Amino acid sequence: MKLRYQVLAVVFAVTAASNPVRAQLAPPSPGSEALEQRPDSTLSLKGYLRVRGDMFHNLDLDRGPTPQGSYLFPLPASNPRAQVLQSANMRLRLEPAWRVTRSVRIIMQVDFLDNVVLGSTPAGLPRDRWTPMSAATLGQVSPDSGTNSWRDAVILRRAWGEVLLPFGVLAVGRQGALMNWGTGFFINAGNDLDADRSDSADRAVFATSLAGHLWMLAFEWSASGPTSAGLWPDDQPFDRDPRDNVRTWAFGFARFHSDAGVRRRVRAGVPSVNYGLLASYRTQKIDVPGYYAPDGLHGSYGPSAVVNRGLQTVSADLWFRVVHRSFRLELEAAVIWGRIGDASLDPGLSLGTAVESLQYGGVIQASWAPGRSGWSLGVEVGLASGDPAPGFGVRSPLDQAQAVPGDLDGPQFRLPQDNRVDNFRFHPNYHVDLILFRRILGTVTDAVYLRPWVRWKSRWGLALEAVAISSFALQEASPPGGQRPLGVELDLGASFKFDRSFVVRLGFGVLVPLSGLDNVALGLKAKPATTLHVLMGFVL
Amino acid sequence: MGRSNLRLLTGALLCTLLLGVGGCPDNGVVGPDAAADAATPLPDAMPVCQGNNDGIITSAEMPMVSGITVNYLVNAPGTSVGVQPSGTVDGGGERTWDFTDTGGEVFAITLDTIWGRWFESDFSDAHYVSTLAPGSDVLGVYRAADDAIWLLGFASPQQDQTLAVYDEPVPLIRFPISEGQSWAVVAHITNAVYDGQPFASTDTYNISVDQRGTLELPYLSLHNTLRLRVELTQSLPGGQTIRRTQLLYVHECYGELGRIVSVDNETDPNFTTAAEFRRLALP
Repeated sequence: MKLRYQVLAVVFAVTAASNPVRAQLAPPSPGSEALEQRPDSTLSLKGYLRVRGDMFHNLDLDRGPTPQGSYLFPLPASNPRAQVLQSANMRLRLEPAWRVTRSVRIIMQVDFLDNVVLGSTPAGLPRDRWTPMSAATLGQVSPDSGTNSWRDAVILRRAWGEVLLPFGVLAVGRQGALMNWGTGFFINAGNDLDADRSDSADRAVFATSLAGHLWMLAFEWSASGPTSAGLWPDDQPFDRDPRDNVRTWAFGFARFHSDAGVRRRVRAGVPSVNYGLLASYRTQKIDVPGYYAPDGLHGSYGPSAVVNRGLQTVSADLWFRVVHRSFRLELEAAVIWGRIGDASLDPGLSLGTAVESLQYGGVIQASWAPGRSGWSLGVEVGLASGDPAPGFGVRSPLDQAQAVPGDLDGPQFRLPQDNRVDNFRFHPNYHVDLILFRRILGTVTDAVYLRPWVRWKSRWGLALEAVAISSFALQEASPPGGQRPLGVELDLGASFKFDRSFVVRLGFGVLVPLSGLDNVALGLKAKPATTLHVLMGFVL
Repeated sequence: MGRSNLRLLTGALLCTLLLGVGGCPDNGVVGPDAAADAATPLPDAMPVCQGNNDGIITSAEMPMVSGITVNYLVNAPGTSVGVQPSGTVDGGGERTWDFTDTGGEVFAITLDTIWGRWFESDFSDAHYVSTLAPGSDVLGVYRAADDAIWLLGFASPQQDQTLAVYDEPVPLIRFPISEGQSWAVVAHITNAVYDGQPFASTDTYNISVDQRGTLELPYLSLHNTLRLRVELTQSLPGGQTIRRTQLLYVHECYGELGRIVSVDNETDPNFTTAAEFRRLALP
């Protein structure tokens, strides 16, 4: 009984990895004589304010446009020959958590001024009588999507409830990943201070501890299609058709030690061995593509608006980590199998050939931190499967019908001769470098990289790091240069933590592009790029 | 004037309504760059024209995009081919036309603007020109409006070779296109020249939208395709009359998917031998 409660406490701590409440929510230890439950409602607040700055020098690599007419990175608007772009942005993220009772919590995640470019919402945008031109602006105003900004000033990303039951934890609502799973290359909640995306989903999750392992079942409302909200706006809206829903079921189990638990084991000379498996299944019978088009929210849909989507995907992720004394080894691999019966976005047109997919990717990390010197060194190898179609297939422009040799991106299937999409994409929050994958490609896909690093960390909060990343494409047809070597990048980093709540990070990167990024059609060699990345975080 | 010449003039009278994936700004005319984008009309790319698959084709669902070339497969000029213009009907009443045959020659049609053409001043309110039929370089001249697409006459690319202007524009398509529509038009050509010879005619068009179904291409199925029946009777000086039936299969956003043209003076409305069997050539 005692072990069960201890394990449940660990489970709850694990599932609360993205929010601050810890000891307050530990269940009562067995044998204590709680005469009555006394509600002890508290509100805690976590989050951060971050301000980031970037300098980009020659990220288009001076290699000219692709056949689509686009450059590898945006050029200065007024002078395409200029080499430098500079920008700063900010975000305030708050994560209030109400502990309603010992066992019940409500948690939110709200972003304010999320990735707003500093200076991008001045008074006078749009111009008015007080501010006829940008030079006359007296300051910044709140972002208003569609008026002076692409997004709103306040974005409610997550809101969910958790209850600690005698047999496990139930979490329901719009939430992120319950825990930072594995390396983060596949499942990434976006909790890092420098993350851009915050993946949230509407889920019901149950997790429990059994036989020393964490077990998890989840059901996700991935997409619901048209609702009745447009028909009867004053009534409770409901999903208008279950067949157009995208639904995901997930199962997982893990042996998981928290960071504190790992540190205790390391100090005790006991290996910390962690592993886990996550599997999910997603399906959709029919789709209403018009609903997802611009202005589609206001349309009316009947049987003629339907595409027989026939979607099925299965994914699995296997993770293993061992930490022993000064060594750490972590491996993670994921595979996705998928099939779309009809990939048409036009209900009037059916594609007679299904689109299929088999994608795989993985990361191996090994590090050594000898003694108490503060030095550590390590190496990481990552791989993401590729697709033989031209372009990397990270974020295809929506109006691009096909990719041709020389393109950086584009659709990875082209019926009828190519009905497969086989490139695996790392989660974009998983930053391998500062330039090539993070900025130019968008993420790791269709590539293998080797990433050795060395780090020194002082006791008074300063850390220095040097990383080298050598990257190659897996499919020769994917890079715009038609060759596998992509580049070698050297990134230097420094971070300083002050007073436990103020963090400064500096990163400087140099990318030496290789033949895979050259412009064969124009006979231009890609030239080096540099970047400077600064982050200041005020952490609650 | 030889009978074969008349045949070429009266054939393929409807413009080719080209695929709209390449984009359609407000004036419906885009630059030559659209040719590269729109040459691959697969629906998996985000369509610029968003149809609603309701079996009614509005002008917005049939954008005219100049500068784009579309390839069709056709039987060789001068040959005939067996066809099933009405397709097959299943037990549920759903009609299907089989256009999956990949044999034949490639016939490329380009929708061009009239600007700069030698005959521009003869058609003061025209917008587009397009090749009429395989084996002929005679151009049809058209005007597109929100309510209709009008055929204004014919002209050759070579100066002063062929020029025939209708006294009244012929509404080949009336928007919105829906099953059950029908209309008739009589238009006259006078003082014209064809292939360097004087020419005149009285053309009677009986146009109807008479069927709806699914048109099958090699790996695509296009639902709620409409069939336009164009029955043309051309009366020439001297009492000669030529009748021809054209069946056009049109779809929201994708325009004309195929065409079946009868032999001259075909009397069977459900003919099964065609002088031309045209269908979209997919990549």
